[in-house]
Amino acid sequence: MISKLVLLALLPLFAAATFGGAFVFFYRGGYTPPPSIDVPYELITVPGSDAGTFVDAPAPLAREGLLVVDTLHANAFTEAEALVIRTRVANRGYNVEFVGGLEPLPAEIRIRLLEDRLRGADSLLVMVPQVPFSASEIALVERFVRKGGKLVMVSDPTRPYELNALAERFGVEFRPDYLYNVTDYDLNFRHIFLREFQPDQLTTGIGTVILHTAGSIDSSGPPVAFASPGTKSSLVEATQPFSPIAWGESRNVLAVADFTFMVPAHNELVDNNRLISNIADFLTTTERTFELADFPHFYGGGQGGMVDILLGRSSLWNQGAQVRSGLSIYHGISSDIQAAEDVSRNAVFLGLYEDAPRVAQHLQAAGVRVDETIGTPFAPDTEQEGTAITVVNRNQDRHVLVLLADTPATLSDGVVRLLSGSFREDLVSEFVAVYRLPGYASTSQGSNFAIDSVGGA
Amino acid sequence: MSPLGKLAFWRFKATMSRVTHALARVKKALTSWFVAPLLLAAIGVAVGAVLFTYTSPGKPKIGVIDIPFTVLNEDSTYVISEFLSYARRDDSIKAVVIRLTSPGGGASSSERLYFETRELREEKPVVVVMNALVASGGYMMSLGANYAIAQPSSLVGNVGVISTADPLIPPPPEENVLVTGPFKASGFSRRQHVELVDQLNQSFAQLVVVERGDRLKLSAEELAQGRIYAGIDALQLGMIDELGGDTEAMEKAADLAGISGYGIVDVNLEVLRHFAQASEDIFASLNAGNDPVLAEVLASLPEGSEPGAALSVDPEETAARLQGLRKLLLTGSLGEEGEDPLPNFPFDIARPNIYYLYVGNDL
Repeated sequence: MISKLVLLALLPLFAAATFGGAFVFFYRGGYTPPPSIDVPYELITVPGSDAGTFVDAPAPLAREGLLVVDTLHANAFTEAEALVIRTRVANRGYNVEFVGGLEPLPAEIRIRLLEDRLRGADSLLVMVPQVPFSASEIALVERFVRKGGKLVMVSDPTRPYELNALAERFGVEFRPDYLYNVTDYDLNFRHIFLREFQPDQLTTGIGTVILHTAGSIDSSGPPVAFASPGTKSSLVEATQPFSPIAWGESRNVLAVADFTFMVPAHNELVDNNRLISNIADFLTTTERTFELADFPHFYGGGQGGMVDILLGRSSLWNQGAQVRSGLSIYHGISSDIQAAEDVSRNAVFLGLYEDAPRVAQHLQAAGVRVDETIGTPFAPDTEQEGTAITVVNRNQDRHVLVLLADTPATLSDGVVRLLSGSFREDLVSEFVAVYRLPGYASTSQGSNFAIDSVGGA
Repeated sequence: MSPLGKLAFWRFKATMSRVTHALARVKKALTSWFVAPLLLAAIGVAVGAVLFTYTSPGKPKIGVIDIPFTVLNEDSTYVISEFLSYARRDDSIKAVVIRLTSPGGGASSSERLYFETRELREEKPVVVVMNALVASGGYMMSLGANYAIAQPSSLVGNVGVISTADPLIPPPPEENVLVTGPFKASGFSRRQHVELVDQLNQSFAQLVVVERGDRLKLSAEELAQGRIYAGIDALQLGMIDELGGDTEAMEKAADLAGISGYGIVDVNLEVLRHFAQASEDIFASLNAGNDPVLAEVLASLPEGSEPGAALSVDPEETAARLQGLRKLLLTGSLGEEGEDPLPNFPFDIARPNIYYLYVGNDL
């Protein structure tokens, strides 16, 4: 009986052994999950900056002026985005004029508009143009800067722009990159700090500036500010002192490779507002020189004070009234006919060649002689018959325009050409224009004065 | 009885006698000292084998989840979660291998899959095989695994966040729109949005640091730059554990689980079968009703998802049925086609736009 029980026990014994054997074969060990470690979320902080406490207090303005803001080139900004810089400039007594519109204009119209506006402008602000400046437009801007006009060019890596064709004429290249810093930034690695500034009027009172996605600038002029250490370029990963704000070859040209720092609410951070005000100061402290082609802008527009109209003889009253009316209607300039010259005021002198001795100093300043014939640096002896000559003389802050002709009729023609702007076709130098009635052949011993027309802004 | 009958009777009797004798010999043999133990042992082995095979723990299996190039969004995350859930619930699956190719996707989808993978890892070892591309949210998901294997040319990493912010200057409020706070409509200011994005980026980088631990040779700052690495570099930098393929992944999964002689379960196929069966059951029950509203909804379902359709494991057909099912269950939500969920609400409703996603070009 016992042996039978032992025999029967073999079955579960082998079953268990098989089960165990299989278990050992298939399960060599157990699985212990790794310890669960959580991210220390409470330690994660984002470096952010506070708003600055800047109050704009512009200094009293020496004189009025005009800032032209380019919107002729499909510029990638809205008026609302440009409101801060516009207000700062306006607060300094300058007029701000946006030239252009929403719709792209044909190149010819663009050039004409730009030429016209730059004649009266003191400063030009070009921000993120998407259409490149043409060669003619670049020449206009170059000429404008040469005459003392201030130019600020602003690019932005986050917006399409075509600015280098213009910028390179002033020794500036906006690199096609953006700057970033992965350790020292404001909320985002592309929002970089500028803490190193060259001592300059533009950097007065500035400790820290935050640029929101700025590019770097390569300029033959001195840099204005450097990005904080560790900042890299998306093009050149090596760290080097990158400058997103720099002067051009001349101190009349400023290049800034970020637009958005001027846009609310980014302008409120740290010293951004101070930098914007300093740029506004730069734009409104212009010593612009004017040429005859800039008539009548050198009179300062409607707010530039009175212009005296002086007549060589009383019979020219009609021509004087014509000038007075034209200045007022077409250019918004107030003027009155005066009997005597006030050397502290701008003036227009209308006369015949016989009246030339009364304005001899102004003619002489322009290198013009009027006696039996007309003498200019380009045409030593020109017959007076059928001609009118226009000269502008800048003396300190005063401009005197002299218009002389052989007869009252020719003088009337000259007045019409002056007020309509046609006189620019007659320019023989920056300060002299000579008009000849049709049908009167040139008998000058020098070159024909019409061929040396310089035109331009 | 006829003589023929007598003959047959005697033959039968003789045969029975021989059988009886044979059985007696067998019985004697079986009960003999030598044979009986062997027989019982054999039966015991068979019983043991049957018990092992058909009761717990059974023969171990490795579950394989295949995720071919997949952008992680709500739909794909729903399906992948089902894969992970199935692998966790099936006791015969002792380890899981995930074949993954993904550029990432929505932030919350990626985070959800990371947490679900990590949940699975709490119970069973998980090995990820990174194929051509495992980036951003895809890499985040893989952090939930125990072990990461990639090919030398696999693109791995791209830690970071992509989002779109409002314009610099938001449009002015409309006079006839009443909201109860400055951020009721947008939720946050632009600056807060930028801050949130950076915060998520840092969290992502910290997650990599924590999960990879001592294996990682990169700092959180370096990770936060969002670089993507070839598998060979990722190995050197400690972003993965090994270069290899499916075989290495199976061996590693078995090793981590401590199993051998394992079988393989195609989790995708099992879940697909489950879906197909479930959807057929649900549609069948819906079809049985006479609810006019349900009838209208059912009529609007895409072709192939109508009730009574034959059971199929065809992926496309099942996907269509699932879409229909989800639509049925979530009628009133913001649909994939962007149909208006609130016909009388006069404004567009923005969907979350924060992504852990590799796009492969400069934006």
